[in-house]
Amino acid sequence: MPFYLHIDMDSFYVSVERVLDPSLEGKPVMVGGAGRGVVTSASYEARQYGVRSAMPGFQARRLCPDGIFVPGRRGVYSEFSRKVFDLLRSFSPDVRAYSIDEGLVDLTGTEKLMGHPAGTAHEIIGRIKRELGLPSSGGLATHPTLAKIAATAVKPRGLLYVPPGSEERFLGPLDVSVIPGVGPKTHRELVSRGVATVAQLLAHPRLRRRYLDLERQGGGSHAHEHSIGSETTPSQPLTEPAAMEQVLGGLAGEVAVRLRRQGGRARRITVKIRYSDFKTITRSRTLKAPTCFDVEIFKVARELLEQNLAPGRPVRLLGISTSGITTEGWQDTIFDYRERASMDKLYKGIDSLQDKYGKGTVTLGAGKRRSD
Amino acid sequence: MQIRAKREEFLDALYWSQSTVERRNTMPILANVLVETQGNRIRLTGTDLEVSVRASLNGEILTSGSVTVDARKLYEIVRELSEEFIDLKRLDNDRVEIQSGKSVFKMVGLDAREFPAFVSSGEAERKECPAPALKEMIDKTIFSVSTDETRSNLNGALLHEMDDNRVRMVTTDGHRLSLVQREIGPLGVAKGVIIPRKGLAELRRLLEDPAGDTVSLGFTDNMVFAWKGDVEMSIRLIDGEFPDYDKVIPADNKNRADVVQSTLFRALRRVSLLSSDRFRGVRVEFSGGTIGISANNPDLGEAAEEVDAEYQGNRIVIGYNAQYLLEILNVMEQDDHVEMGLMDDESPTVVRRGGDDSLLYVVMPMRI
Repeated sequence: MPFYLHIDMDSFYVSVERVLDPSLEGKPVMVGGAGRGVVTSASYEARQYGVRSAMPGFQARRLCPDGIFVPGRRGVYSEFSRKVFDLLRSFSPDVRAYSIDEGLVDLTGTEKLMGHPAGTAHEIIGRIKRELGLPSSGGLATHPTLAKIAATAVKPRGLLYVPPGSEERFLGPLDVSVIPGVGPKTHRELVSRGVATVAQLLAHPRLRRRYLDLERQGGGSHAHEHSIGSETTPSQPLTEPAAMEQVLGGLAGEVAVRLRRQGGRARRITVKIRYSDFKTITRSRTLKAPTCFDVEIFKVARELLEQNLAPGRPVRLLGISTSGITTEGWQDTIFDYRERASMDKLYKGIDSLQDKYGKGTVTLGAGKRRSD
Repeated sequence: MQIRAKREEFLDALYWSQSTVERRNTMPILANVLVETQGNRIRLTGTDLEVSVRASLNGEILTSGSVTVDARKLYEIVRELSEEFIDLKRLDNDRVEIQSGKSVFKMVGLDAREFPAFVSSGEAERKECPAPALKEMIDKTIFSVSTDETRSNLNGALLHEMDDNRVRMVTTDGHRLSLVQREIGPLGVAKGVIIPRKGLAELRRLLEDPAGDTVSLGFTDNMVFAWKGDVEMSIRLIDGEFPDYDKVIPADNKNRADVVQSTLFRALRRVSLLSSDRFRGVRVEFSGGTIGISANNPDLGEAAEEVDAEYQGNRIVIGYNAQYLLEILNVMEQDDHVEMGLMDDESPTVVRRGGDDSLLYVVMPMRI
């Protein structure tokens, strides 16, 4: 019987800030949102005022004038994220990171070793809290998507186990908007067709296949094609290409580290540029040789920015994402394999030093890093 | 212009021009063959601007002149005719009439003055070399010419003359490198020239033509010319630097395997049937007296086979693109001994034919 545990950290950035500054406990706290940036994480206290993540700072301040705004420290969050995932990996070799604060642990076949997965799930969430001080929610089910839905349904600080056989009973009454991939637009469309609950959706074989195919195991041991990316909204819109490059440098570093942790290399690099009028463009390039190196990702991202940036328009958000991720099948060339092998060693060395002494302690001399 | 020629001789000459013309052209006239009279000879020329071939034959020149007409269509027509002679005549508006026995074809032509001029070999010194040896050099290297158009300097074969009349041909696509050396010099290419893939393929066809065992080669700054029998070929060389190939050939790969070609070739073909479609990766384990080859495809299953081999060195498990190894083995004979030299699972492997210092391949491992 397959068992997947979806772990979703509760207001992750805020929780990290609270670990580092316990006086923030119990107060409405928002990370980001200073200046013209957006709120990247809001505590549950702040959410009671109607603040949501991705809300522009001015709006959040209006809703929650007494709230505490903390500037984001991405490097610190990445560091905590890594610790969370390290902990998850101590329970299962098959852990998939969906984002900085969300991941899937495959607990299939761990029963003999660790007892029933429901107990293991409980222990995982307990240890994340005890050892790292971070609250999280979990969904345990026989299918990855179902596990995610369960985790979302039970947030915050909950664990929901959907026993085998009760999947449709659990899902049936839920609103279709809980299904990952059903955004506001699809939601409207489905509702207008009389499909409001998951039960109604599951009754249509075609919709079922398209949106919630529980027969198809998305899990399994081989990682499927997904993407790894990171984006950021600086507190002030950027107008200088040099400043944008610096942001891209930081993002490239983050993305590269995550690729290397998975032992993957990406074939495709996408840059996302959102101007201050919210017009957003994404531009991609496919590489000849897949990469997991900061400098190579940065180089391509910078070129994509140079080629596509509308001059003079302030940029409010920049992102890099990588896709076509493979863990095998690539070949370096006879001309550059030595160089790439030493780059590989170099970055692995940096990664392990950073694991030991913290992010930012060791960087490449020429690296352009965003200040954390 | 009006000419008469033996159908078979005309067809033979036409064969060269029609093979050079590309199916898709930016200039319509490049789809055509130029038929012209030259003294008492008939000359047929085809070109794609990179490679040009002209072949001449004897014929009866009733009136001199020139026409151009669709090369492929003319070839098909002449091939279908069955009489001994064909007559070819220029009509008004560049139209061309082909008559043989009771068959008459009237084809649309283009003004012969528009046809690109055949580049003159000028001062190029003609050097003779054995055609079979040069053909063999192409056979043993052409498969690893790069098709990546962003690296034009790898889109051809390096012809590089060493001392003592030894000439090397080297190709690489970055993932493998082929090198063959033969004593066919001197050719006058000490600094090396890069012959593009298509030129190489056309040259090979010229070399395997049974007419004569010798080919003459002549080089100018940007062209190579080849003359053999009644055929003259010009190939525009690739303008660029070929990488310093000597540097990437591992000199001291101490782990060595020796295996019979047919054994390894067949096992690789079998096992690679279940390699992944995308990468064709196989896992090869060198240890003791065997080479273990295995592959797995998540959608299909897995395969494994052990082949007897002499192996001296550390146990190494390495991934290869099966296709690359097969293409290398393919140029060797069944009974040949294949020598593989490895450093480790990350560095390139050297593949040679036992007792043959003139042939060398380098293959990059694949991460599997």
